Amino acid sequence: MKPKIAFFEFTSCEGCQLEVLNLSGEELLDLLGDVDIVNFREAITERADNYDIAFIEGSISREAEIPRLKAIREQAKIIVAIGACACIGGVNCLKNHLTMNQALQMVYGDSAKYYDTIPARPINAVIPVDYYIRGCPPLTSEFVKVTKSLLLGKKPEIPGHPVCTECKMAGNICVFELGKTCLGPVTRAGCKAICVSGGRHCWGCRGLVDEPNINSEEEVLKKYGLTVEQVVDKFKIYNTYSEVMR
Amino acid sequence: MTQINVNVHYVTRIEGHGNLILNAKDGKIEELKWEVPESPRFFEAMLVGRHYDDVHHIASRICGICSIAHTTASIQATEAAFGIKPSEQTIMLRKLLYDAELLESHVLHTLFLAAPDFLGVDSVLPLATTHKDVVVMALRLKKLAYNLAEALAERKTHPLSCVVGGFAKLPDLNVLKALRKRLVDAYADLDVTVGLFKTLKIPDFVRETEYIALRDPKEYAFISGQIASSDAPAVAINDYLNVTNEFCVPHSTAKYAKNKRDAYMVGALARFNLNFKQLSPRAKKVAKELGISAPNHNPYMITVAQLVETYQALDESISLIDQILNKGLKEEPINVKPRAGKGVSAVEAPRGILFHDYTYDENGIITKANCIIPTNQNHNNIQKDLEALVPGILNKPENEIRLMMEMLVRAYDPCVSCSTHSLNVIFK
Amino acid sequence: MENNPVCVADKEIGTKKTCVISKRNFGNLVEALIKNMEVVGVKAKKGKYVYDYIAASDELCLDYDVTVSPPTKYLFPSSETLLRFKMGDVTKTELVLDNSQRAIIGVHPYDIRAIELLDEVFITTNPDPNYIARRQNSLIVGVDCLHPSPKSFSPCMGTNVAENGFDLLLTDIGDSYMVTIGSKKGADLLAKYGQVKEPTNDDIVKQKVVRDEALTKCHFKLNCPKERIPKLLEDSYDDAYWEERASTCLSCGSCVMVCPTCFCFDVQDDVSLDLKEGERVRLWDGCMLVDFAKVAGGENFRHDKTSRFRHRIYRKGKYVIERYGKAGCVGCGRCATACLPEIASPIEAFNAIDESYRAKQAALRSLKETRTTKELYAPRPAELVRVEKLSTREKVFEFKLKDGKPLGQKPGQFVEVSLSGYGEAPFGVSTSPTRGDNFELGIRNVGNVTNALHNLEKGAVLGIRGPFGNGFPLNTLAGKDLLLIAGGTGLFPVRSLVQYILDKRSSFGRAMLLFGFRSPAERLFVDDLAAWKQNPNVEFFETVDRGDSSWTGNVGVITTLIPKVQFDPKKTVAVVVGPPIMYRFVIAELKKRELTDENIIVSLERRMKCGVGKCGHCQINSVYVCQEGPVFTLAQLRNLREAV
Repeated sequence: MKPKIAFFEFTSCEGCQLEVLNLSGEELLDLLGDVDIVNFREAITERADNYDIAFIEGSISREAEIPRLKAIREQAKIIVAIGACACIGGVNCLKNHLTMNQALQMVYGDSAKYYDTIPARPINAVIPVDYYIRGCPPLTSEFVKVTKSLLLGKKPEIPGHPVCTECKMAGNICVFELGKTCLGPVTRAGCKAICVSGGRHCWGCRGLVDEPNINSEEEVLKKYGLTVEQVVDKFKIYNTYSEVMR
Repeated sequence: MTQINVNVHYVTRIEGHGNLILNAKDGKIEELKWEVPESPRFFEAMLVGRHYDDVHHIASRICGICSIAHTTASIQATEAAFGIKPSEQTIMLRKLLYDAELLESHVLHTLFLAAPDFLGVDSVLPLATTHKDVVVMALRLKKLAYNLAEALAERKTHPLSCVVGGFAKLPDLNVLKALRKRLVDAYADLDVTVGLFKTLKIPDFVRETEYIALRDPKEYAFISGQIASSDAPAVAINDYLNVTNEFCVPHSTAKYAKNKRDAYMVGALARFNLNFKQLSPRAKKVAKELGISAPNHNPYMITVAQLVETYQALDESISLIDQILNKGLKEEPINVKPRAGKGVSAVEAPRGILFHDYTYDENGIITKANCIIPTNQNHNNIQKDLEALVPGILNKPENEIRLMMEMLVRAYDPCVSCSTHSLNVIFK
Repeated sequence: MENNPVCVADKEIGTKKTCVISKRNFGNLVEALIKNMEVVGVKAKKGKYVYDYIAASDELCLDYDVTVSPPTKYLFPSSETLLRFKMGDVTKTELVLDNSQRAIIGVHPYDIRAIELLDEVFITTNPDPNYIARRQNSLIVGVDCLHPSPKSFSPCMGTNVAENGFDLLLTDIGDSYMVTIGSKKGADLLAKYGQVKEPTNDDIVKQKVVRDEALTKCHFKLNCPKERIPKLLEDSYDDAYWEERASTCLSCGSCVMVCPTCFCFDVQDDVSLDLKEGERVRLWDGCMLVDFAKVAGGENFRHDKTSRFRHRIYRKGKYVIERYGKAGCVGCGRCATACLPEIASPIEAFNAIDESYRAKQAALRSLKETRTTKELYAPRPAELVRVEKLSTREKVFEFKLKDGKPLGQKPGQFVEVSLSGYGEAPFGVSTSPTRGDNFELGIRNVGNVTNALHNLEKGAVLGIRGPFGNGFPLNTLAGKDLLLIAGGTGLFPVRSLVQYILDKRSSFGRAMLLFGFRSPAERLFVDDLAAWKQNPNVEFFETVDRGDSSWTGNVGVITTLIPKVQFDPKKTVAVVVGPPIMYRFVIAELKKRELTDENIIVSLERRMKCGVGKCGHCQINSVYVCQEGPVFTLAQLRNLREAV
């Protein structure tokens, strides 16, 4: 019996699912040889509700999403959160710094009354999650790797070290050496430091490492010229929901 | 007594969530709605207080599929606010990056999302067996577009290297050279697609509407120009609010838009209708082969217009790479001096014109943001199309009506997730 | 693969022979190489230098200071396939070797020395076929480092010169390079593509001058002979330096990832999507990473930053040289550049350890020479800046040292307060070092010294010695859920820990405060208690043994509070301070809740006269409470029968 997999999305940009679609022809055909995709609204019309593995994208930002998510947990044997929104709350949580009424008024003015919204949160704030494929967006290769591990009955290996490790492996010049600042030292690796390779810096989209030395990172950021507010602001973009920020 | 009830909860193979409702009794329509149950994501509120260097990074997250469009619109709006004029090299690289997204998005829509309807299947998955060559080819085209975006911005979804004032990392010329070869080879793949589309029967339905798109006297516009309309003279992008005229309707939570008529259309067909003359000769030739000429008033032809535009994107990207290889690339210093002020930018996302409008304070912190996405501008037109379409097909079986309605929505390639998301509203 | 060291045969031919090649001709030689093989070399990038592919000789930049990452990545890449396999069929395993010809141009001598170490590691015993394939197919063109990076200290490690391990070594002497031929491969290369001439005397002098000049540019000095480092480290395992420096470590692994002498790796299997075949891949790993020493069962043998930090320096200064006979650190300074908290440089560690060792030795020597140290028993003058009554028997005293320096205490440490004529007495410090330079002592009026203290007024100047003792183990507590239990004056030292936790809130997990007093009238620091009760960042519980009419809170001994809190015994550490009678009952209660002895921490009160481990008053069995304590884990005390 091939395992049945399903994709669901909540509050998100659906970019994660696009990354998953970014397989080569051979890879997609191989994958279809291993699994049955039974629910993938963005790409297919067929739907079935007897799936084994549910990949979930997006954070929870509406009351109505909560029962829908719980129903998926009931059905699926394995829940995999994909992407920053599902894993750590991601950019959606930026609105949590406002009251929901402020946010509604700001965007919708007089029509605000039509909308239902609650502070955004990662899916593990609502249901237990088995595995995480992190990043905004995640790497296709990591999705493939985790999927293969699950198919082989292995526990996917998730790095516990920060982005710096992979950034050095990639041979990048340190962002700090170029006079800019970066959240790489406290952000969980697995992205191959793609943002630094692309000429930018780490925003922390994969969430913090297990044992982040936040005090030291703060000191480093201050040493490189940021104020405490700017340091907090940097963490906010993806990690508003993390314990460190709360 | 015949009763027809079509209730499509979450139309599939579109980006984001939308519902279709039709209730008719004895040939009389009682209810006919394109519902976009919008769950707000508050990007405009989230952008307030952010530093300009983070703004396009966050704005990109509005939409995964058109993240390059949002990033470009965002960067250009910030540059407009700061009075920055990007270099010629930067503009070339941006256009090339843009072509990558257009190519990827159009291939995804025409071959993965729309084509299954015409081939009588529910998704691309069965095609992997019945039309394996087409699927592998489509994935190859998509991969090519991805690789092109990767060469320029490290990745396609939420691009990295393009920043306010230029590019934080320049592409490797050898990589571009290799991509050029693959782009040339891609014509053969696209020709196969055209061959396939020539055999498909596109529903014959006509409803003339107002068409709105960017127009640039220099070229088939994607990231520059003025707002052109089929019904009125072009206006400057700073005056976009006079065109979009967003309004709320009681039955839907999505904002609707209208300009000169009761609704207008944006997207590939609007661009095709307004800027046909500026298409490359090859794209024009393909249009002729596919039997589409400007103006065309059949919304089902949006998909065909997209196919024509893939040639435009391919032609443009090859010519851009040639220019880049010819001139070489040089590291340009990125100098950004924030200043207080307002900046508006408009770009043609794959599915239509997109506006970003920012107000900054003197420290480069956003104080006000407004984004108007293409799909919101199309909602109203989709509704009007449905109202014109359905009475003429009510005599058909329910399944067929349902499919015709779904195909119409899908033709618009709606990208609802831009600001809208799932909603569990129970419709009767 | 036979035991066939790469360069042995080559070394014998042409070694040490020198010649001169013009820069232009060298450029031609590189162009010729580019036509024949993959050429990598040093290039400028964003104001720094990197090793990268070279498409034309003018891309090379050979007068660089240091590259961001070392050239060893071409011999031992960050990720490489070791073998391919078919799932379920071990006979179909196939070795994957990289046999492509590659020239590496611009390698500095310290990096050549690092390559020599890798040769030793990967070739001498259990020859590694993947490494050997790359090594044999690599042509190494070194260049003398004439513009060392400000962080480099290779002369201190003796690695600024290379005798072997290269095919050619260049020295920039102006318009041309002096070339030292290191192998037959190098000689052949010159013969084939290079137009060289014999060096003139002038050239030889010039080479010496530029090399000597480069030596003067090294800003570092190793304060002991480098041969002493292994022994020095061996003797300094418990030095305070390790913990102090490691406290800001980000565990980011940058130091090991940019190190040319690091070679630890991980091995992972990567299976194809059809699950039919796969590859076994070797990836860089590093001893500074959290999971490096974690075994499948979850046990981590170097779970704390300090042990990882120390382990790396031990590798660089001791383990590697003892095992392989080659320097474990070549002084390139890359780790010092890469380390954001600026703690990674081995020379700094070596010097600090050396200094600490010298200080210990000096203390010994001075004793032998019967020279007295003034500081040991002489108190530092401190002004009493505030006195406040806490209860009928206790007052709090705020002091400011007259020398203007902070006391430098850790929470849980104590000082000796010295009152001329009355003597000295030890008191736990009640304030956290995070609360400014002044410090507070909570003192109960029980004896001669304390009685005299209670009679003092603001402005009085008395003496302070210390801080002494170990204090609470902050590194162990970091990240844990904390259960702080204090009875009566036990609150005095615990208060400093509470303050510390509040000021570094994100470093700790939950903070559960359980405090007990005999009666409402005997409550201490009532304003603090009220504030903590309101603070959402802590979970606060308080009780009194006997209530009175004004008291509306819990009544009962402190053990009755423990069932009120839920905690995960795996994530929680309890800190218990109070009168001796309290320990027995509290500990029994905590054991019921499955806290292990390692996770129960107590602070002991003993009579202490000197505070410096000599007087013997505080000794429990073999332990001096003022030195190894006053803070102990219950596990440590289990072996000390007299402790609790």
